[in-house]
Parts: sequence; structure tokens; C-alpha cells
Amino acid sequence: MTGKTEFLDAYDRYADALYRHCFFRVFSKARAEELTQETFMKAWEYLAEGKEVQHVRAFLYRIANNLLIDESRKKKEVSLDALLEESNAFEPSYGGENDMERKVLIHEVIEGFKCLDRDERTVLVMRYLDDLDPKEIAEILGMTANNVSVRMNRALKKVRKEL
Amino acid sequence: MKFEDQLKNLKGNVRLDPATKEAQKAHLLHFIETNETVRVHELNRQLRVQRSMSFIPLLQRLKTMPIYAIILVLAIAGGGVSAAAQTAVPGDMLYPVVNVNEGIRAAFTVGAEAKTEYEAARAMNRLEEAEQLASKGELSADVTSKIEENFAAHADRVEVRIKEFEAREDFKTAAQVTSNFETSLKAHEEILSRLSAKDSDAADVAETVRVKAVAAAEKRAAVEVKLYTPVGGSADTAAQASDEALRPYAERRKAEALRLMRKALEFIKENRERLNPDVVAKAETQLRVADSYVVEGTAKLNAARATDTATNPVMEAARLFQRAINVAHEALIILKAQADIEAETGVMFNVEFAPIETSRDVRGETETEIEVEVEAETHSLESGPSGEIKPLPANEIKGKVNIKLNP
Repeated sequence: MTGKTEFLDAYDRYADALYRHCFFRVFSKARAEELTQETFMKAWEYLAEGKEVQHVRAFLYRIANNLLIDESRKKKEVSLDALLEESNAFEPSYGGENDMERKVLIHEVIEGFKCLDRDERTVLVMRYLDDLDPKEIAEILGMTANNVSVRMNRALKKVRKEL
Repeated sequence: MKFEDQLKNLKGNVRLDPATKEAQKAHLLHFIETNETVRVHELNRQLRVQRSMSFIPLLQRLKTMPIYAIILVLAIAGGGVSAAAQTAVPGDMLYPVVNVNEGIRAAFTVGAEAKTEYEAARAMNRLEEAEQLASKGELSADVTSKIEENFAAHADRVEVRIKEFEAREDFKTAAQVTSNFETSLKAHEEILSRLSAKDSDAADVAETVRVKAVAAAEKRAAVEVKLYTPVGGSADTAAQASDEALRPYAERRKAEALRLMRKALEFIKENRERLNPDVVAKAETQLRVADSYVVEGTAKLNAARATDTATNPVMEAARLFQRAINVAHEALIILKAQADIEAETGVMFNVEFAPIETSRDVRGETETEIEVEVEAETHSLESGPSGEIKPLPANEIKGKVNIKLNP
């Protein structure tokens, strides 16, 4: 077995989670798909140089995050209000049964996100959508676990107040 | 519903659609194949530059020239560079891909134990490469030093991870990994020592391995003390606590021992014509010893729980199963080395295994009790010409790992 097999297995394991992570940062199905693929291509290039990786999951999120940072530098941040008005502007992909319920849920989350800045959204997505603990988030974002918790609590308070 | 719960609920509701996922995977595979080919090309270009700078004769430099042709053939054949590189040894044009492939596998191997085992396997891969080259007398000083360096890097990582298991007080995993590592090192040390008659550089590698094997043996002994010594409480509660904690571990060790023994028997069956009959006979003797450990460990495991911690039967069983693993593992390594070297050089080796104690000698148990269990247990190990089950013959232990090139 070559490393290729393991790499493609890892794609199967993490692609959906990375896609969700990217989608709730860029709010575009097509762009989130591209970023997911780009994350894996960058990961392969890094590994192909013979560099060592300890925690694959954190490694992939770190790459995705760097790509998202590059993205935000290049583009003006998307207006969530405009997105919500144009209900067909985004479609976060295949969701299985009960599509209506899913759409409502997504709209509610985006509504909540409107009062948050990009960094606050990031920690909430990583904590509750990606299931990463504050220590892992801290490692990926290059901050302390304590700062992650503070930012997370502050963000939740803001959303509760707003909604 | 709380906002954080809404976010959590989205997990199952937002994902890539299957068609996009398949398309992305196909694209990734294409990207990897292309990337790999370009990488091999580049690595070999660098190698040629280095060689030209070191004034290596033109004829030797020309050895790397057909790489373009090889890459082209592999690309057309569709097998990929990675697959072709799997059997490459240092000095081969595709060898750089080996390290990359292994690194990627290491990165995507899940779990601390599996990662450590894989790192140990990488260390052994380097030793197998040294053995292959030594068997053909092609182990130059340069290659030896590179192999030693790479071997040490992998072995050091294994040692670090063993320490991490210890720090987490996961003595079961620490003991198991260390014991397997020690056995592999010792088997390769013996093979390389014997091969040093054919290629003197093999002696240097054997010495490096010996140092690591000694360190692994010391570490294993220290870890086993921690694993098998109950901590705190009265003798009775400590024994019971240890029994509860160790029983699943002992059972897993037993399954592993049986898996390795079957693997060795299957290897013999599939490669009999390539193996020296003497080696086969000796390996089978080793497997009988392993079997006796399993039988005896099973008897201990089935025995009533002891109240005296010093003779806790589950602990004893775990110890015996680990010995069975070590013996079967050693037999498998020697068998594979013999078959590989024979395939490489066309020369049959004569291998003798180191004398080992039978489990009976070690513990001095009554023979009647064990004989019954031996008969019951050996049926699990059979391997006849058509795959049917046959009991192994009675024990007869002898020998030392001793590989000689036949004239």
C-alpha cells in the first residue's frame, strides 16, 4: 500500500467537515468546494516534501484556515444580509432528507452570524460545527486555549442578545 | 433552541454531495500522480547535479539517465510511480518516493499505537534495505551511513512515543510496542551480523541495531515491571483490579500471537519452494514453542483468579502471550529475510534460531495440566497443503539465528 491510499481515505474522512468549515466562512457552495479541494492539494504537496505531520486533522484545518485568510484578504467580505435576501444565492449542498427544515436552520444560523465579526464566527464554527476542542482550536489559530474560550463565550453572548 | 445547538445540528445537514465528492477524489488522484512524477524527476535531477559536482565518472552518472523513460512507461502503464517505488532500495532512481510514501502513510495513520507501530516498521524497512544490498555485496559506506541515519531517525521517534505512553501511564501499549520493537531489532541484528561475511558494511549497521536492541530490552524490562506490578491497595484488591484491567489486554495479546503464528505458517506454505528446508524446520519448531506459550497462557487465563498478586494468572497469561508473539514474530522476520535474500541473489541461506526456553522450563508447571490444553489448542494453528488444519508436532527446541551463504 502506498501513501496515496491513506491520503484518499483521509479525504473520505475529513472532506465533509472541511467543506462545512469553509462554507460557513465564505457562504458560497462553489467556493467552499474549491477551498476543500485546495486544502487537500496543499496537504499533499506539504507531505510530498517529506515533512512530518503529527495531527492530521489539525493540520488540514490549519491549511484550510490559511486559505480562508488569503481569501478574505483578496475579497471584500460577503454581506450576509444580501445573502439572506437572495435566498438562492447559496446552497450548502446535499443535505439528505427534510430539505426545508435544513434551509430554515441554515438561515437561522446565518441570521445569528450577522452580529459577529469574522474571528468570532470562526471559533464558533470550529467549536460547534467542526467539533474541535478549545485546545485544538488554539493550536490551529495560533492563540491560547483561554483566549479561544473567552472569544467563544463573548460571541455566544452577542448572538443570544441579538436573537 | 440554543444557537450552539443549532450549529451542532447543521453537522449532519451540510456536506458535499456524493457526485462532487467523487469528482474531487478523481481530481486529487490525478493531481497526486502528476505531482509524484514531477517530483521524482526533480529529485533525480538534483541527484545528478550533486554527482556531477563530486566528479563521479561519467559512466556512473549515466546510470540515472533512463529515469525519463521509466517515468513515461509508468505513466502509460497507469500503475503509478508510488506502486513501482515500493520495492526500491537506496541507489535506485525511484527510491526518493519511498520516504515520501512512508511519510504520507505515517501522517494519515490514525491512533498513537498504530503510528508508533508504523514508525517501528519504517525503521525495520531501512534494515531490510540494508540486508538486501548486503546480500548482493552492494552496501557502500555512503549508503550505509544514509541507511543508519534514517534508521536512527525512525527508531528515535519510536523511543519518544514509548516514553509518551509511559508518561500517560499506558504501560500495556508501552510494553507491547517495546517488546515487538526489541524482537524485530534482535532478529535484524542477527541477520545483518551473518551478512557481514558477505558485505563488511553490514557489520556497522548490525552494531547500530545492537545498541538500539539493548536499549529496547532495558526499556521493555522497566515497562513490564510497571505493567505487572499492582499499585496500592491490599494484595487481594490489587490482584482483582489487575485482573480486571489486564484480562482484555491478555486476550488481545493472545489473538495477536495466533495471528502472527498463522501468518508465519501461511508464509511457509506459500513460499516453501523458495525457503531452505532447514530454515522451515527450525521456524516450525519456533512456532511450536510459540504455540506452547499460547496454550499455557490460555490455561492461566482460564484458571481461577488468584488472591496472591505475585502469581496472578492473568498477568502470567499476558506475559506468555507476549512471548509467543515475540517468538512467532522473530520466525516470520527470519523467514521473510531468507526468502527475500534468496529471491535477490538466488542463494539459499541456512538459518538457525537462537536457543529459547520452553514455557514449561520457564515456569515449571505440571505437565499433565498443560498436555490437555496443548491438544485442545493446537487445532487453531493447522495449515495443511490444502489449507486444512493440522496440529503441530511436539516441541523440540534448538538452534541459534545463524545465516550462512551456501557456496
